[in-house]
Order: sequence, then C-alpha cells, then structure tokens
Amino acid sequence: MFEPSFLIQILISGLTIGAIYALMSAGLTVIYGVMDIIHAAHGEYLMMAMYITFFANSLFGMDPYLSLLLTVPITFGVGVLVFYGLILPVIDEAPAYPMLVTIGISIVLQNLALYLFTADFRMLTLPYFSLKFKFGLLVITLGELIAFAGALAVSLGFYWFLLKTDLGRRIRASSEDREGALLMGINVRRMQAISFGLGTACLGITGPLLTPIYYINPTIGDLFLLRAFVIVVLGGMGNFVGALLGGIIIGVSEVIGTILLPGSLAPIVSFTLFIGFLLFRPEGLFAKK
Amino acid sequence: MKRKHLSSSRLWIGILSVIVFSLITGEWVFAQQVKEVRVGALYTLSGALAQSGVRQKNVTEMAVEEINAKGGIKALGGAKLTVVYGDSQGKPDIAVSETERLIQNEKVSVIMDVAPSVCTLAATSVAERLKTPFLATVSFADHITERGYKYTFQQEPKVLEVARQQTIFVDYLNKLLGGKLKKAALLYEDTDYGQTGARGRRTFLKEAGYPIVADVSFPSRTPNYDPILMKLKAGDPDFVLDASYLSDAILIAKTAKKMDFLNIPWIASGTKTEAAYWEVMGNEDPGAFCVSMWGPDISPEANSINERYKAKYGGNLDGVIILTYQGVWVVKEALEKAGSADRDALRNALATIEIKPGPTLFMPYQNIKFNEKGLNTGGGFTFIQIQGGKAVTVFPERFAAKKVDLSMFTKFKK
Repeated sequence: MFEPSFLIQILISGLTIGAIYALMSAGLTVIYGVMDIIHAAHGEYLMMAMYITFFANSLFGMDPYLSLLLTVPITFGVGVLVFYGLILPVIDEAPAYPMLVTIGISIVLQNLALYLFTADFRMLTLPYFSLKFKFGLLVITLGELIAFAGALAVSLGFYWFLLKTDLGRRIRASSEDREGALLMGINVRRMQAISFGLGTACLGITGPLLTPIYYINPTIGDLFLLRAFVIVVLGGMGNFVGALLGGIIIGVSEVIGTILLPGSLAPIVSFTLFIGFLLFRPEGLFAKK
Repeated sequence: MKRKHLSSSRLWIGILSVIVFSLITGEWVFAQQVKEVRVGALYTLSGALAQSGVRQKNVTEMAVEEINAKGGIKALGGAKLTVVYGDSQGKPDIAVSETERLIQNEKVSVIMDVAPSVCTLAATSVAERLKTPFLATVSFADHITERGYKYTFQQEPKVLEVARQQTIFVDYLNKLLGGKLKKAALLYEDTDYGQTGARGRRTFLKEAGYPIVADVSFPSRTPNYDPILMKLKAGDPDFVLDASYLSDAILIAKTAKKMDFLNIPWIASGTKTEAAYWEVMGNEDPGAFCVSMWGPDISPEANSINERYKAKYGGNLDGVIILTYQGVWVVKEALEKAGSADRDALRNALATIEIKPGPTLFMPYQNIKFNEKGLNTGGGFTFIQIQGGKAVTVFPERFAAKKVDLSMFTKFKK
C-alpha cells in the first residue's frame, strides 16, 4: 500500500483538491486581511457562480468555462454592492457586527437558492469532461485537471497582481497599515470594496471550474467553507501566500488521512496538523501581510 | 320546616328527559366527538436532505386529502385529519426542539417521523418522555426499537433485515453470473445508518461465504472521494455493498465511473431507489442495484397511486416516500381502532393493530403488526436496478417488472 507509486498518486489527488481550497481561501484571507472581516457568506458566492454556470449551460448552451465571463463580473459586482450596502454601515462597530451581517447574508442566499431552484441536485455532464488520465489506481479527468490548473494559475496571478501592480500595492498598504495608507492619500474605503469584490470573484472563478466535477445544490458552499477557514488561520490570517500553501497542505493531509484512517477519523490528520501548528506558531505559517 | 316532596310524575318527567337528552346527544357523549385529529409530521424540510423531506410532505398531504375526502376518521364521527409540520433540518438537536413544540404547543396526538436515523433516535426519546406515540416510517436503524420504549413504533424492518435481504440478492445475482461473485467490499457513511448496516452485512456475508476484501467507511459530505475509492478498488472486489446519503452517493458514483469501477455489481442499501438520485444520475450509473421498499411497477394499484402523485406534484414516488404514505394510513387505521384521539388510546391501538394485504396496505409486506418492542414484523423489501435511466424492480420475481440486466458487469466477461 505504501509503495512510492501509490504515494505519488495520493500526492496528486491531494494537490488537485488543494489548489481549489487554496483559491477559495485566498479570497477569504484577502477579505480578512484588508478589513478584519470574517466572511461567513463566502461559500454562497461559490454556490451563486455554480448556479449561473449551470443555467447558462442548460438554458443557453453556454460552455461552463465560457461562463467565467459571466460569473467573475457578477460575483465581483455583487461583492462590491454587498460591501457598500450591508457591510460598510457596520464596519466600524465591534468586530462581531460585520461577521453577523455576513452570517445573515449566508442564510438569506442559501434559502433564496432553495426557494428559486429547489433542493434538487443538478449536474452538468459534457462528454469532454470525462477524458481521463490514469496514474495507477488514481484517475484524473480533464475537468479535474482544468480545475487544478485554473485554480493554480489564478492564485499565482492574483499573487502577482498584489505584488507587482499599483492597485495591488495600494490594497496591501490598506491591509498592513490603514492609517498610514490614508495619510498617503489612498482611498482605503475603495480599496476595501475592491478587495471584497476580488475575494468574492475568486469564487466566481472557482464556480465554473468546479461545476464539471461536483453537483450543484444550495448547500454546496458549506462543503468547502469550514476548510477554507481552517486554511486561512493556518496560513496566517490575511496572508496570501499562507492561504495558498495552507490549501495545499490541508488538501494533501486530508488525502493522507483518508488513506491511513477509517471513516470520520480521517480528517483528524489535517486538523491535528492545524492544531499542532497553532500551538507552536499561533500566528500561522506567516504573519499578516 | 316542611320539605317539598318530589312528586312521582315530576320524577318520571325528569328521568324521561334525561334519557331523551342522552339519546339525542349520545353520539357526542360516547364517541367523544372531535372535529379534527392533530397529527404531527416532523420531516427534513431544509438543509442537504430537504429534497426527500419536501416529497414526504407532499405525499402526506395527498394521503390526508384522500382520507378526509372519504369521510375522515369514521370512529370519531368523521373527524378530519389535520397535519402540523415540523422541520428537523436533518439535525438531532433541532429534531428534539421541534418534537417538543409539536407535542406541547401544537398538541398533536401522534407524530410521524423524520430521517436521518440520528434525528429519529433523538425525537423518539422526547416523545417517550412526553408520552406521545411516534410512528417511525422512514428510519430503520437497529436500535430505534431496542430501548424498551412504549411509544415508539417502527414500520420498516430493521437495517439488519436489509443486510440479510442483500445477501440473498447477492446469491441470486451470483447464480445468474455463473458463480463468479466471490469477493465482497463494503462502503458506507459512518453515522448510525451506515455503521449499523455494515455490522449486519459483515455477519450475513460471512454466513453466506463471501470474504470481505475491503471495508471502507467515510464521513458524510466529503468533498474528495478519490482516496476512499482507491482504498476500495485496491482490494479488487467482485461486488460492492454501499450505503450513503444522496449527495455522497452522487459524488461516489461519479468518481467510481471515472475509475471504471462500475463494471461490477454495486448494491446500495438505499438512496439510489429515490427519484432524486436517478433523475440526476440515471445515465451516469446504469446497472446500479438498490434495496427498495416499493416501486410503482410492483402492481397496478401501486402505479395508480404514483400517477395521482405525479398529477398533483410532479415527479415520481419512490420507496422512501411511499413509506410515509403508508404511515398516514397506519395512523388512520389506528385512530379507527382506538375510537379516540387520546395519546394513550392511540398508542394501545398501534400496539395491537394488524393491517393485512388489502386497500390500506400499499407496501410489498406480509402485513403490518407491531411486536412488543414496537417493531413491525411483517415487512419486506424489493430490489431495483437502474435501467434506461430509471429504477426498475427486478427482485423478488413476483414483484419484478423486468429481468436483471447483466451487460454492464464487464469484469466477468471473458
């Protein structure tokens, strides 16, 4: 069971899902980093993007990857509107207030979806999704490969954006030192709005990537949300690279846990890693950046 | 002081009036005339399992309308059934608070149940404490009726019986496949539902002589099934007995399909018989077997119930939902037997009732008769196979609509 080829297969499987976790967590960590907001409705933007992808395909025959042209602007736009409309009024109150607002948004969005689309599971199956690549017992479909590659590319692209572009620098400044940024003439509020939108747009990208490999359902956001929070804390809250690395670490450790341990004991591996990390390095992999 | 005697004529007029009065209103006095009987129905109406819960609610409404249209509860002077719904959201703690609300605030006489089994276990302990009869139609984990409760009744046979029937079905398939089914694999979600079933399956498979080469459990709502199925496939099984809820079953079948792992019989303990599964996965998972409680194709009567449901709510009925339909009629029959909406009278009626094959028995059962533990001893199952994108009854042969299709089990083709 533990010959090198099997371990490599496990690694590949963990990396594939890890990249997806990474992209989702990157969005979450940017929101926290710039605004100190715990975004409990994060998963619902994924759900939104997946439903848009599904209906674009079933009603208009749009290829899911083409739906990126729809889901990214829509999730970005909704994020910015939600920020200005619902978050901004409470942003300077006690830290719990914005989080409570996002919890409320999460409940509203999930139930709105339940009402509009029913609890029925939907699936998109296009023939080219099932082109396969075999690695021993492990099989990766084209859909999974694109999800992995896409998530990785966007995560790295986002990182480059934050590091190298002017807008990215202004966002980082607002995150690191709000007062200093204000003094430098940066419109911090606008940076926060843009960051919020970018955070939700990460899910706008993940949605079409995941649609070929999962089902679509009002509660699909919950499936990933807990892990995303764990990863954000593991990587250092607000730290972008930490979220990326954390995603990979959790993805791989989850797979290792599943192979080694039965049933519900499997997540113990990733969560023990998480707890152990926090005991010795509470600020996470990296400090806030 | 002089007492005024009651004259004989006055006495006779008095007695006569009382007799006449009670004859006129006797029905009211003796039959405890109630206008409605309140029945609690605790389903999962939101959350991941909502799809089944909503259908349960629909079929309950349909049964209640039929019963009320036919004159309601005749033993109670035509009292109508009124159902009060609760939503457990699939969570045991909410199931508890909803049960309390239905009993104490809504004052229902009896409660019909909730899935998953963890919610049923929680809710029935509340009903026991509050002395309200609880009819579990859809849950059938082993220890629902093993707690010495007086107010819990379980309509379906235990999970153990499912395991026994699955092994009988494996023997049947094995005969059809020329004895090539040798190695078994178990795949199950690891709450009460999956674990109890797995215990039973291990016992019966061992008795029947099938070694288990892979025994894999998983936490429900896992996002990535690759490593789990890799573990399963590593044992090179000839058939898989699986148990999972809807969202997991979908992902498992998708993952198994890409791994070319569906070339052997998969016999599920539930879920795949539901329309909610094969409407989405029917073409992705052809040939899958599943234990079923019922099918519209087991008899002409079954088909007509299904057509009525379809006309009203759209979509087909399936085994899980017809259990609820049957449950409403069991409540109705018990009320007729008890002649009262009182909780203890109803409880006693349920404990002694016997429903034979006929106009109120819709399941492929021998009868409905609850033993001293509250378990129905007359229950039985069928097996379906997904053919042409939908569930078709294939076993036992007296209920089968079509023969078993073996063409997709390419592992055994030489």
